[in-house]
Amino acid sequence: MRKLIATGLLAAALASYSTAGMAQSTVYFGISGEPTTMDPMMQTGTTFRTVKLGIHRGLVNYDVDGSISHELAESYEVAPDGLSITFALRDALFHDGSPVTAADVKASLDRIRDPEGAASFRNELSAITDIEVVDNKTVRLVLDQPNAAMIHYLALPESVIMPASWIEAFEADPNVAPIGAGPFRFVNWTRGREIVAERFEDYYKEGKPHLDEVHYVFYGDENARVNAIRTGDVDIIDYVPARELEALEAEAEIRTERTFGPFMGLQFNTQFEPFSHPEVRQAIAYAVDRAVIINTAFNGIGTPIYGLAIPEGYMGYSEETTNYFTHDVERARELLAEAGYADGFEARLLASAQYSFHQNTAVAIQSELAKIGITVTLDLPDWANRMSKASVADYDFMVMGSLGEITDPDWLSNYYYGGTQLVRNNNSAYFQDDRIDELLDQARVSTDQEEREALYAEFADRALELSPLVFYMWRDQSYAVRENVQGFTNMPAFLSFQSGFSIENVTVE
Amino acid sequence: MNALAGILAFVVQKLATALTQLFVVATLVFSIMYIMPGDPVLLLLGSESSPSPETIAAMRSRLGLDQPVLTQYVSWLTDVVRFDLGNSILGGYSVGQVVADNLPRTLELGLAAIVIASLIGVPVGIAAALNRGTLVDTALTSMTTIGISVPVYILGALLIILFSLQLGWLPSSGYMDIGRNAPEHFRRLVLPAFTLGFGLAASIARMTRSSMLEILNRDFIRALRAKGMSERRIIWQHALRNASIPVVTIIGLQLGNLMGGTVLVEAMFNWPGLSTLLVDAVSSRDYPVVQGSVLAIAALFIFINLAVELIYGLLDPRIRRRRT
Repeated sequence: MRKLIATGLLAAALASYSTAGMAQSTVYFGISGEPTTMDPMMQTGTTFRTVKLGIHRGLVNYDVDGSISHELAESYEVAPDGLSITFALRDALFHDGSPVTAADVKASLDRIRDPEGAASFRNELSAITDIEVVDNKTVRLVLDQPNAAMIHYLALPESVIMPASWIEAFEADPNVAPIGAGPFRFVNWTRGREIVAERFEDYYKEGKPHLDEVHYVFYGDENARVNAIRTGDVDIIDYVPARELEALEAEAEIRTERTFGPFMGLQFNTQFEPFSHPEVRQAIAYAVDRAVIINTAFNGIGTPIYGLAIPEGYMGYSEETTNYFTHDVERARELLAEAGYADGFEARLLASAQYSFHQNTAVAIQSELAKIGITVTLDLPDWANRMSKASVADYDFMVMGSLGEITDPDWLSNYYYGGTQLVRNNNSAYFQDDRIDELLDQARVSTDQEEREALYAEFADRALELSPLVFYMWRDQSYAVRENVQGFTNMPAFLSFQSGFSIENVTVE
Repeated sequence: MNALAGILAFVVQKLATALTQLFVVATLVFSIMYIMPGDPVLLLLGSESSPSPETIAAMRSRLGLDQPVLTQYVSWLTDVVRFDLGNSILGGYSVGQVVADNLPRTLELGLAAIVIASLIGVPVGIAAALNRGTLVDTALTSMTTIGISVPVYILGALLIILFSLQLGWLPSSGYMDIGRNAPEHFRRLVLPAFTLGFGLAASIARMTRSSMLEILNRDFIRALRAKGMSERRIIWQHALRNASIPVVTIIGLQLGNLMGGTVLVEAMFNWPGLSTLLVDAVSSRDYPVVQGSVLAIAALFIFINLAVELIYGLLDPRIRRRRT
């Protein structure tokens, strides 16, 4: 008994020693994993984007309200013929004290569009045919044809600007000493634990950032992450699991920042005989009760989609396109019969057991499709393996959980365009429709708003009629924030994964 | 002279066995990673974009993954012999360095667990033995049954709920450098070490109890009692000392097994040790990191067992003779 009391006292004594002695304005940001690289041109997931947007800035970026904000570019002008964009740079400094110049912009963007390189958005930026250094503070991007989406691709966290001298010195080893022009300066990266960044005093936005330090702490385990914000070990966490949302909202000292962002749906291998018929794909859109997926995989939190996954307010959105389908098992059976599959068929659905919501979405779809006679076998490898299979179209159909990279409707190209590479991560394998390609091409080069609207309206009709992709629901994408932390914004819809941008506005009481 | 030669032969034989084990582990680790499906190049190139086949091929060749497996194996093995574990595919950092950083944290967790387990297990075992057959004994023995059967992830979750969320005494996760803030370092060690050590505490308690009971029934204890020695002296000086040999054996043997428990405990408490490193590397298919950390864990296991065997062999000639 005496021992027990002693142990209790010891624990109490240890507990009374608090962490309050540390720097006042430090924020601990619990992120859902460790970035795999610090090379900005690589899109390796949200955790790296969050860190990247603390350290780097591009010519432009997406602002917290979703608009394009002028960052290192004070202004920009698209030539009347649409064949070039000229940027005027502001007087900004990199973390090593050197000024941001046109040469740095050229070096950074050339590196991304390098045909030999491995930049994630190399294809998108290769629409730039030349980069001209007009003078020290002016740079012109020359395009092969007008491109309404280009400014959006330049706003991505992967298109940030680094010093040309840094690229030369550290390209081979980008993890040692990242340098950017963002609000926080990289301090160190402790493997397996955290990345620390400190306030950059010479940041070009007067009075920002407000914090002295940001610690991006790696919490791969979602339970550990949620516990960490409950106990105050961290101030912000990303990827709040749906089942914890309500409980966290009930806590006095924590609030959640919610938005929907990614969508869940299906990609089809159109070389698998039944899925080559649009009627079959439509039948699958009709057959599944969205509520079953939302309840099975997302604890009842999610918004159904009955058409295309275009967020309200985005170009291409309309009442009709969002409510094209209904949950109608009879209609689904008719469509199957029309295509010659009145008795159903067997198909293999690829998902991943590594993420429970992927697995459970697959389970829900399996049970729903059983009702129209489609016997689904599940293929649930871990994520790495799922990616490998997706890259060689080793699936009949596949659970899709993704989103558009940009807010310009050209994001649809990645999902619907045919072109030369017919097996991609985000399209339906081997799907190709000339009319869809034409519409996407025309809409991309058009600089006329009304014309673009009309083209995307026609695209939407065609995309629904053929339904190469079927969408079921919007997934909630939430952050949890301690009440004493202000200014963090979960950016709307597709931009949720770029919310790390708002760290420059964060204050802590 | 003859005895010395015997000892030497024993040591050499044990060392040879350990080295063979290491080689087998190294080979297994290498081959398993290549049999395993999943391509690190695709993960490295990101999940959102759609890399072209040329990009994938370029990356593969940059990482040396386009070489024949046998070539990769031989060069890997040669490097390992020189203590060079290569570089991470994804992060480019030195695997040897990161293993060297994480290994002491896992060891610290394991040792802390053993200390806590001994502090709990030995007194409980003695108390149960001395109160044999009474309610106290039954209560303590049932507790040890629970202790052995409760999985660490349940125990860990319960401890977090109680001490972190309800009472707010201890942090639920994370790690603090001992140089930066020593008290905080130990505060963060308490819950994971306790979680990891609890099952071992139960084993130690049981072993202590049965071992004490056996000793207490020996003739020499009876002789000491007949001599009129105080009960306290008998128990602490004579019985416990003799009873502790099998207990120490248990601790030695369990140290290796504890390493298995660290996989769950480190993940649960976000403890940046070898297991955390390993689990992350497996899910991202970072071959060199997986190989390096598995090799380090295996080497640790083999080394501990080697040390235990050598010590026993040296202490107890019967073991030495039986094995050589």
